[in-house]
Amino acid sequence: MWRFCTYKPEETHRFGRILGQFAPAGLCIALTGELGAGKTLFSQGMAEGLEVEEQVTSPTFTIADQYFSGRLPFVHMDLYRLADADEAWERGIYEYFDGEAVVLVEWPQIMLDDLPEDRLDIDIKRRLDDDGAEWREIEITVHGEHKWLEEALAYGENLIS
Amino acid sequence: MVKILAIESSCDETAAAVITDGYKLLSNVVATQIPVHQLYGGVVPEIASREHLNSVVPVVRHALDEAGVKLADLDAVAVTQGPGLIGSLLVGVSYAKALAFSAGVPLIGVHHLEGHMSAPFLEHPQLTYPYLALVVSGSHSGVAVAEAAGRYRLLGQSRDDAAGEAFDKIARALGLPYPGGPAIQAAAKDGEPIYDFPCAWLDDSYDFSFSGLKSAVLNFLNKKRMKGEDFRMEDVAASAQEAIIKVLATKAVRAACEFGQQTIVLAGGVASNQALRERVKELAPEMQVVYPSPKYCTDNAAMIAAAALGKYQRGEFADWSLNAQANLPLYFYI
Repeated sequence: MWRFCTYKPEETHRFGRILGQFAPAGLCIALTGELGAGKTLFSQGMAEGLEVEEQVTSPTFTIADQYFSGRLPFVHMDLYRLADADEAWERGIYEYFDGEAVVLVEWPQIMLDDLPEDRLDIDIKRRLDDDGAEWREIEITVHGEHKWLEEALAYGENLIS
Repeated sequence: MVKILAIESSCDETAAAVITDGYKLLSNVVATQIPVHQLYGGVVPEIASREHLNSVVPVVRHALDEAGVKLADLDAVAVTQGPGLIGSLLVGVSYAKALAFSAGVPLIGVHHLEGHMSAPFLEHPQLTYPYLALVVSGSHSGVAVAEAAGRYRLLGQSRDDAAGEAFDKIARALGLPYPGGPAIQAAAKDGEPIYDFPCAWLDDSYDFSFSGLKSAVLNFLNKKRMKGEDFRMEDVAASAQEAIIKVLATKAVRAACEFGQQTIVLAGGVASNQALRERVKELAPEMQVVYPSPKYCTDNAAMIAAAALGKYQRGEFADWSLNAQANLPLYFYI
């Protein structure tokens, strides 16, 4: 498990960008964190790292957005509005995991057991100092082998505090 | 008399409508509005009722019956091509294609936002181009100049959360029900906008960003609760609503001025927000402000039919290769 802290919204964005730059084909990331934790920023950073040209917007309403302009296809999902894994199946969510696209799943709790076993679980926690200053704790749990991640984190070492 | 069947299945709602000349609706059916027994003949399926695949056939049949129209009477079949969830879109597109092919009539593909921007014609058929359109819903926030039928120039759009989504998420944080827009509007009536939440103006851009506002409201609530300070939920609702509509109304009016428009059309679910309507009128007293009734603001097939009517008249038909497109851009001509 890896732990990082970000102190500004731009740092959360940059963190996503570095992962996007190094992400291999077929990568799945399960992204958790309460509303306002910075999941959108992380996702936009990741898309930038993948060289996606379009504006990446919230997929909450559409549930899954696909972007094909980057170096790999990028699927941005938000399962917030789905009740359970059955509904995810009905909506065709499983078809997006094709081994090629990088799939980022926000609010993945309803189908964690059905996500690819080989994946990263990333949790963004909102932290508050005694003086009211906000920061974020980002926790990465690695499932399977992800050699590229060490490379990415080494590259980002001087960028991420 | 031209008769067009339109099908909409871009997100949650399966809907169908039949329209004829003069934007006259012969039927307008949304799956969730039909009593379940009527939809399935007394058999309630195990799968969720909003599932498009189960709904599309009965909804279309219902729309044709209500209009008193047979498949053979149709002149065209129209369908939402995108944007939306690909699996949902595909149900509508595949079914529309099959229907059009079997009826031997042309197929028309409609952009979901073009549908929203065409909705006002259903109740204001005398509306004329050009006009400035502010489209605000759960999935979209955008400003466009509708230069002529089928010609849209997109000036700006959402960079993160759509306006309706901001309402939904803030409502949830305040313990208000879904959908958040009407709930916040109701709560705001008993509150005062005393909190100054940040508005993302994004300089001169016509883009919108509401993710920061959502976070600001959540931070506000967290801090108040941590410090044990009292606040009135209604005041927070009023303040959040103010921060959203201020940006929407100001940008819409500024765009109308910059592009010399005399008419502003408000469309999409958030167009039902009274405070937004009033603010636009207040900021642009000399302009005509038009908005559809709430039933044509939320996702529906009548608006797709309205857009399709214009396309039929202009002979803009799709061929059989028409495909659903999740991120379909709004075509624009400058």
